[in-house]
Amino acid sequence: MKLFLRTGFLLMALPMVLMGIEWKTLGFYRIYGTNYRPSLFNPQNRSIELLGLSEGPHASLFQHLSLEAQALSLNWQIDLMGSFVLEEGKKSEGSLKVTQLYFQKDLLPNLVLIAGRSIQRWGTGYAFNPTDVVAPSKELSDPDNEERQALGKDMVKLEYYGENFSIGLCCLTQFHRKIPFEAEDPGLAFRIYKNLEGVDLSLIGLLSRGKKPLWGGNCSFVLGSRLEVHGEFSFQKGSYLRYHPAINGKFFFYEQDPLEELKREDGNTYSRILLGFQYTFPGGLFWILEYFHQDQGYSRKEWGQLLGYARFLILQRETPVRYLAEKNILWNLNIYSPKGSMRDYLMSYNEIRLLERARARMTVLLNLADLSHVLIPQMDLKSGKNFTFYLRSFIFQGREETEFGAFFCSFSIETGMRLGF
Amino acid sequence: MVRIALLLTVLLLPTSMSSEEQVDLLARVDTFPVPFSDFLVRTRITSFENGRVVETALFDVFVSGPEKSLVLARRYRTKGLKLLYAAENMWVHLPNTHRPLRITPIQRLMGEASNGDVARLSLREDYSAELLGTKEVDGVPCHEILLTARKRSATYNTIILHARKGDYRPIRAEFFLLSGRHFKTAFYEEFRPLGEKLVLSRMTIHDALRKDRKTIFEYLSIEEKKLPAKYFNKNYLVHIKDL
Repeated sequence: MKLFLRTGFLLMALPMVLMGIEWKTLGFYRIYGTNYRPSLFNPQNRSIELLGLSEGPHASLFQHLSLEAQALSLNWQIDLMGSFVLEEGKKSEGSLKVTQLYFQKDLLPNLVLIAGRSIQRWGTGYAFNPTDVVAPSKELSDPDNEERQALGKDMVKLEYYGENFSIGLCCLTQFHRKIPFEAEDPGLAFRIYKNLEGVDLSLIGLLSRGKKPLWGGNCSFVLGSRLEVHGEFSFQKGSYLRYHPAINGKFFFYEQDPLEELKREDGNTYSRILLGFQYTFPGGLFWILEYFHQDQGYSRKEWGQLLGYARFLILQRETPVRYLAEKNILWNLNIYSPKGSMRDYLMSYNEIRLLERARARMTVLLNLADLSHVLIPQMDLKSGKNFTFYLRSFIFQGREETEFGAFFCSFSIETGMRLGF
Repeated sequence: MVRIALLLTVLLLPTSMSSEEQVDLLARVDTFPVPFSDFLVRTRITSFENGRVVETALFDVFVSGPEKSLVLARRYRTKGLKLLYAAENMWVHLPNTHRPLRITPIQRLMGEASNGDVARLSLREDYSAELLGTKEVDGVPCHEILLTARKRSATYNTIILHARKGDYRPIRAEFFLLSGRHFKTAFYEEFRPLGEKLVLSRMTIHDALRKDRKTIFEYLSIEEKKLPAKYFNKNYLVHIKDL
């Protein structure tokens, strides 16, 4: 088996070595299961099938390949992610996506151009980034994109790097694979960075077609030998998120997507604020704590109206159109965001090495309005240089009518391995 | 009698030095680990526990003047890790992540090696010096010098450095934390000629509490090299591809 693996990798590596291409590959192979529960948004646990979900053991294989090469006086980066998902009682599905494909060119010694699909991060926060206008959204369980699932944005970026400052300008969009290519949400973002008396300060702006400009700033600095402090804020006139009309007392029976940009033209300024720190304890325990506020999220009153709507639809279950009510409830599931859809949250991340090769991690996301929470415990065990075995769970807890208490999943558990070369 | 009393006073009391003398003293010590203004030093670090090798890593350290350095991990458990020190600030960029993180020089990199031990080779910029007297270390007559952190970028709060009389070659250094705790001891063990200069080629750091632990720094090669300013900007860290 070892010989087979080695021969396989040598055959893969040979052409790349000959062409001067640097390559890395990382595979994620996992089995997982999810426990769904009845809730206001999943009456009698029947919504799961309509969502395309199924209980029972599932398996997935993800293989990421990252290539770096120099050609035509340019530095190229290509990242590909192939996936294969097996679900009990369902047809297996495979896919391949290009997560990054860009080139980098020094126009002047300190002026750098990047063009193509690229993952850039401008924020200073760990889990939340109000100023990360050029970045793909983050997963709470993998903010650092260790699992390579993030899809870069299509951009042309020009950045000048000075002694302790930089100025960046970025035209960005998102192309879809359809032919002819369609560009979505074109925008122009800029960042002015300066290190001032040890504090990293950035001013950030985003001008998008058909939207009011977004302005923001972020900072980070260290205090003493173990504490890092960071913060971000952004604000924009109007909210461009989509809301359920139930928050204005409107109830729908039909299947069409009822979500709308209800707060787009209301004249209010909506802000996002992040405050956080990282601290390393003498024993090696690493702790990140972040407070996140978003004016755009549902207020307690709006949340109550959504729950009222869910109750109303459950009452309509006897309607002749069999799934009419239920499908509308499923639209309600869009109100959920992996990182919360209400206003105030606290995120805590702890990490400690238990042995030379074992690492325990715990992420907690707490909704400060209703105290419902998500727990994500994880254990990693490294074997040799290339293998890591892991066990991870997502646990959603809270009272029946709270955000994570009403979530249609109570917990999931997954185990698998990562294999990197 | 008066002469003996005067001699004792000179030997026993800390000698006050002008700032120019301090700089000159540390400048002479610095010539061993910092032979040029802009250079690349390839450093192999091996950590031991109970005489057993725990980890070996290879770093390229690009130094740019007194205020900047860039460390690239060529062989390490996190291959591709980059450390940047610039104007009293320090950042790390972990491969496959997309943003640099603020860190401090005292945080452990591997074994007994802190980030600052690898990235900060110069003492002159971060510490002020006070000559305490003379002392024999392993049979070598040395100046005993008290170094006190004067910038927040200093890795340690206090260092007692023993430098050989005559040429100020560093022999031994004891590192102390802000709490006053003796943290580590470094032994400057081997030097080798580089042109007309003599440069440090091997240093061992021992843990002051856990006596079974030590970390060896081997400075394998040193060459003069100047990089453009962008390499020392924290926002460019994630884009470094061609070094």
